[in-house]
Amino acid sequence: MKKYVPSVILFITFLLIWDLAIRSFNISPFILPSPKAVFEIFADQHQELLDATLQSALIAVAGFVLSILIGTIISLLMSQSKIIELSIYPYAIFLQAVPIVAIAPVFILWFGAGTKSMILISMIISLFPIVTNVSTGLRSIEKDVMEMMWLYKASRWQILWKVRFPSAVPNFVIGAKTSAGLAVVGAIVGEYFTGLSGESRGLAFLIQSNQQNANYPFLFATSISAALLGFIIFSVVSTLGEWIIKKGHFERKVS
Amino acid sequence: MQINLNQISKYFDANKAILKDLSLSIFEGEVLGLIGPSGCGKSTLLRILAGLEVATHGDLEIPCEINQQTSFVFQDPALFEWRTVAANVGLPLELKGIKNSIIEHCVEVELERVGLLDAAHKYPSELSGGMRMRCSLARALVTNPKLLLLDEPFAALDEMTRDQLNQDLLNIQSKNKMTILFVTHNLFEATYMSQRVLVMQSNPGKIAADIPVSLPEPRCLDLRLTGEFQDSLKLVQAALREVDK
Ligand SMILES: Nc1ncnc2c1ncn2[C@@H]1O[C@H](COP(=O)(O)OP(=O)(O)OP(=O)(O)O)[C@@H](O)[C@H]1O
Ligand SMILES: [Mg+2]
Repeated sequence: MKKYVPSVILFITFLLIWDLAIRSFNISPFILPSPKAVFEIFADQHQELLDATLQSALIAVAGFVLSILIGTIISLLMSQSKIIELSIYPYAIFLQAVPIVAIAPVFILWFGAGTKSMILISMIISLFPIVTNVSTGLRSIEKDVMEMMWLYKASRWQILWKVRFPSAVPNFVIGAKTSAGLAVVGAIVGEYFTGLSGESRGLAFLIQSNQQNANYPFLFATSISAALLGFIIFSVVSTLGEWIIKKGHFERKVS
Repeated sequence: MQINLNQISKYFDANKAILKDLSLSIFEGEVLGLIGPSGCGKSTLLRILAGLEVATHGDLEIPCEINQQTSFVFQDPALFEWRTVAANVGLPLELKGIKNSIIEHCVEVELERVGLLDAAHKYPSELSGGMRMRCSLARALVTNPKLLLLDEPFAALDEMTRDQLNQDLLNIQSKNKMTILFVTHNLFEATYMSQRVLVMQSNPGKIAADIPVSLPEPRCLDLRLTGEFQDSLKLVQAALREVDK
């Protein structure tokens, strides 16, 4: 618990300075609402905030899980065939470099302004960290180990199951951590593009409607909720990943 | 049954022979030490015997049974960090699709033999360097090899651990009678372990001297203090000086 003390103190200091700044410089609530106003929104509108956060969380989690499944399958295919790797990898890199805001409208055009599009957008943006990390992990097996497996006449499947998969676990965790954060971004950005007319009532809807109604304390509270959501999903994935690595002794050897 | 290498040459690129017209016979149950200057092709020779490299010219006669039952020990123990000691040792049998109950039994016997039974359920990250090497050795022995090839297996260990492992390996060999060919840079180790020490020269690599070491069996560490041992050691040292000039 002790290690959280400095960051908690920093947070309280931050709130105090925020409050003090508003009082002493007479900052208009249209630019920066007071912490008190934001807290009041959290107290009064918690149901609405929670619903919106859960809605976005569901989309992000669905996108994340899909990206893990699809990303692992793609990496697996690439690790098994040089031709598949050479044909897919350049596109994986290319797609990774395309800004999500450029792809999102296309998905909405194809799949409608609903949950399906949002999950797909979240999946696409969180897919590549999985593909690049997992395929690196599956491929980078030491020469000694490969020769040893060859001497034991291990089959391709035995090598995959008993060597490549376990070796790739640390890379998988690194990829999943990056991917988890991106899945939240994807879920919110995706909802943005469906607009206020869309059926979705997630965080992006709340942000947009509060912006239009000039309800700035509520806007701030929503933004903070979005940040918290990203943080929570990242922390869960990160903790789970470290636990798997520790429990299964998957850490890369040092010696 | 013996292994014959006749006029073996190995080129990695066409201009430079790493091994040139190397001939050698290895008899069943022998312990051979292979020494020579760095880069002379010792590892390459071992790898050709294991089938990891193919000779460019010449022929290699290995009786089929021996070829089927060859184990290779790398300098790096190459253990899987996510497997316990027992699971690492059982790996070669597991890959052959042998029943678990049989594997468990074989692994136990092997761990007992290398003195690692207490650590059976530990993970490699929890072992010392010597224990890791023992584990690697047990994995090589679990298939009951007829030919055991070791490439500087104990080079990374401290002297006491190395002596221990040398002794253990000799004891195991005296029971199993497998053929052992090991590469080392350590003259004491080469002389102490071997019935014959092969000294290689470089550029191109071939066997420059083949020195029989006849010392009383079974050998134990005190032997190193005797005059007989010193005499053999001097012979080996002189041969190595000769090729290293
Ligand atoms: N795969 C390879 N491709 C090209 N050259 C190689 C290859 N393997 C070994 N060589 C070369 O062959 C020569 C002999 O190498 P080798 O590893 O057999 O020597 P060594 O006697 O084991 O040396 P050391 O005592 O340093 O381990 C070296 O010059 C090395 O550069
Ligand atoms: Mg070598």
